[in-house]
Amino acid sequence: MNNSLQFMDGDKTPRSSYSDEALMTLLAHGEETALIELVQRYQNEVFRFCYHYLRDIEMAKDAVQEVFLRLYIARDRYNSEKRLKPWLLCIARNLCLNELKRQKLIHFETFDSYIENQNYEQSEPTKQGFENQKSLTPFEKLVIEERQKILWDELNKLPEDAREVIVLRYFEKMHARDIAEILDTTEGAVRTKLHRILKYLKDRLDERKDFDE
Amino acid sequence: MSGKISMNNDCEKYREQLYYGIISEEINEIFYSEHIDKCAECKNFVEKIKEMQNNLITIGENLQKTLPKIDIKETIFTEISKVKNGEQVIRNAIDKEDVIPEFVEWNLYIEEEVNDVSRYRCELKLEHSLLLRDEIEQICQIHQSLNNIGSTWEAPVLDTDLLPSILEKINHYKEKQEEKIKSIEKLEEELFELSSAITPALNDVDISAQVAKKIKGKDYLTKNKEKPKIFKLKSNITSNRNEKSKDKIATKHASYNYVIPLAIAAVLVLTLLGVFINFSLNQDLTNRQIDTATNSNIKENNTIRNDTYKTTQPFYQIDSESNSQNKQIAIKMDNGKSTHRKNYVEGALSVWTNQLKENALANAGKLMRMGVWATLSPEEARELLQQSGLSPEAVLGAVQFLPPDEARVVLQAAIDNNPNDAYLRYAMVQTLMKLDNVSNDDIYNHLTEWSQLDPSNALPHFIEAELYMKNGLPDKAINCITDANSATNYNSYSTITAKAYMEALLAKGVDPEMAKLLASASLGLRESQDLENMVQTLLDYGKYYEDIGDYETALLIYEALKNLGVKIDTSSTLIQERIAGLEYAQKAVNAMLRILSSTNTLSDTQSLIDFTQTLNEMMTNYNLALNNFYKLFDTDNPALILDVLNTYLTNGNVTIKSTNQQ
Repeated sequence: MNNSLQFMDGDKTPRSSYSDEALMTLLAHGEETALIELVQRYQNEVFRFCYHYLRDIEMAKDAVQEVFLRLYIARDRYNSEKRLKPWLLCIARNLCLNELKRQKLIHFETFDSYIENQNYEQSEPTKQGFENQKSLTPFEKLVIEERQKILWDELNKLPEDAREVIVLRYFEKMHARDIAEILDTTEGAVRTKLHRILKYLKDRLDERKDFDE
Repeated sequence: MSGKISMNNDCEKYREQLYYGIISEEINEIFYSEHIDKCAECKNFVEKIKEMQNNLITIGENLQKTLPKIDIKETIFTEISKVKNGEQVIRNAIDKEDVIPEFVEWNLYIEEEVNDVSRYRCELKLEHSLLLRDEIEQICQIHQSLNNIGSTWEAPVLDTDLLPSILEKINHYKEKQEEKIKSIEKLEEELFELSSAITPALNDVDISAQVAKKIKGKDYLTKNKEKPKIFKLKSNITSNRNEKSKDKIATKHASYNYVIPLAIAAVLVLTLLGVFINFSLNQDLTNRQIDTATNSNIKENNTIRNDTYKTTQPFYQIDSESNSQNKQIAIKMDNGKSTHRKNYVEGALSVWTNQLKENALANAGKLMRMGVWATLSPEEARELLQQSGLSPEAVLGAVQFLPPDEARVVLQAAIDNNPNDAYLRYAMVQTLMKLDNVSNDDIYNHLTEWSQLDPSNALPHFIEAELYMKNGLPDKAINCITDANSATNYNSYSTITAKAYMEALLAKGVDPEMAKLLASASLGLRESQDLENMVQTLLDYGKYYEDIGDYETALLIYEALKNLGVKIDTSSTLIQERIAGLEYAQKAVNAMLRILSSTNTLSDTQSLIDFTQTLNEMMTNYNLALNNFYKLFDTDNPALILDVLNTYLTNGNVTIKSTNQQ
């Protein structure tokens, strides 16, 4: 879609009602207030996304600034037929990977920090496998915690690319289509990968045989 | 009751019992039944059956003893394991695939994003396979667990607004960009000043003494030891050197002169550097802008007469060279940029060209590659036309350099005397199209006469179509394009024009070899420019029709341009013109492919794609041929060069082959 034409005569409609693509079109034409709106819209999300890769708050903040600078530099190259958010997160990903390479770090090395930041008070009732901890008996809670520990253990053994997909799908709650755009692949490939990962986890847990005990 | 019982229905009944008895081995009971005992035939039958049975048993026992034992258990197990391994191999191969449709479907099912048909299919599979059902259930559990883990994960929160720092970074970036641009402009100014300092110094270099010394020491004569010809230019067209150097013009074998090539190389490097900076800073500065600005300069200075070999332009041709003195004149461009940069580039080019002209035949290769112009000033042209006994070709050559209103008068007189000369009509059309106060009917009349005198030529139809387009008569333009399609060839009369130039130069007193070389070097240049302008105009109109959705008209225009390119390829005698024709055909095909892909008529694209491939191959061959043609001029033998020039001016260069190729 291209909403650019209706904004070219300098109307006073609040920028918050503009779509992302329209804001980018405005930015490409030199309207820098559009950038302010984009930053306000996406800085939290980009920060969160960068944090997944960098695991450091200050580094993630620096990365966010760099991402928006690159967005500004590449404003003329943006294709308004594509959605902005995946494009923006793709820039963020590339930036984070370069930074990690520079510091010789591995992204998604372990899920330990995720384990530390679990808040079980937020859990929701589910059909099976994980119930609201408030309604469980101590024994049931123990069983669930043990099962989760085993699951975390297996997650840590996944290859890097598989961990990345798990984080984007289950922690960032991204749709497979968006993940595909960020990773520069197809939606089918992402879904195949997800199913493979789950199958692998299932096989690993079966082998351990203590998951259901 | 005694006595024999003959075969009757009872026999059938008992035969049935017999059969059953034999199978169940209860034969004795049956054998002694009443009927069997009394019926000889049945009794006989039983005995025969029993005998047969014994024989078969004996045969089986013998066979068992004589036949070898075959143990196929191992074989069966091996084959089964192969199948299992094969399955594993297939499974491994499948697992390597990025996308496995079955997995995609299961993932959609688990995520509850599957459509009804796929859901039904998945549930059917689950119904038929317990194993699969267990597997999918477990996977769903894990999926749910991961979902919940993700939901309970507390993401870190951004506690500060990063907007001010982001804006600060952007401002910093902008400042850096500004500084970069300023430093490049400063460098460019310094280069221009440097080249300005070098250029006059080159003019004062007199290397004739060194050349003469070198010549004495070398023997580069031909086998029969002929003396080399000394090419001396007549006084009114000598270069801008001082009088001393006029008498010591370098002889033909300038390749042995190292100073001039070094000086030329220095100017060339500076030129290329300046052009590179020009290109990288202002990519919008097209050749047309430079040419337009140069043309305005030329108009201001076309009365300059000095000893420089002047590049005054024919009235209807944009010239890509300019006099070195033009660098003193500021060219105001629309955006106000790059004035001194352009002057510097053009000034350097002009000096280099003049250097090459001084040793024309020795630098024949370079001049041919550059396409140097042979020109006359309007005054010189008028003087020529006033001479008596001027050949018709010389008249045609001189007319090209007159102002258009004067040229029109001369051409009309020529047409009145020669109404059936197609070339005169062509020249008249070109003249009239550059005049402002001309009625279109005049032009159309001449175009009509021209096309009738040269009916197989597509060019007049295309020019007429372009004119109708510009005058807002698209229907008439389409008719002309249709006529153009039915014409079979293309002729821009470039050899006639070049010969006319040569005759005019000769009439003016230019050295014959020089005139021949300069006319050859300019052969086809202005025609190519005109053609390119015309093709671009029609492409623009095609794009216009495309944009408004009139694909039929757009395709008609593009198809005609494609056919024009083919006609140029098949009928032009110049390799460079053929290359241009193929390029235009390619542009038209690209435009057609664009329309076909946007309207989803992909079935028609294959032939165009095949055509494109053919075009590419042909262009490669032509480029090679053109290179080979130019290499013919890289020789020390002037006779060979003149030989090639003669053929080129008469027949073009398509059929010229080097001695190696003959």
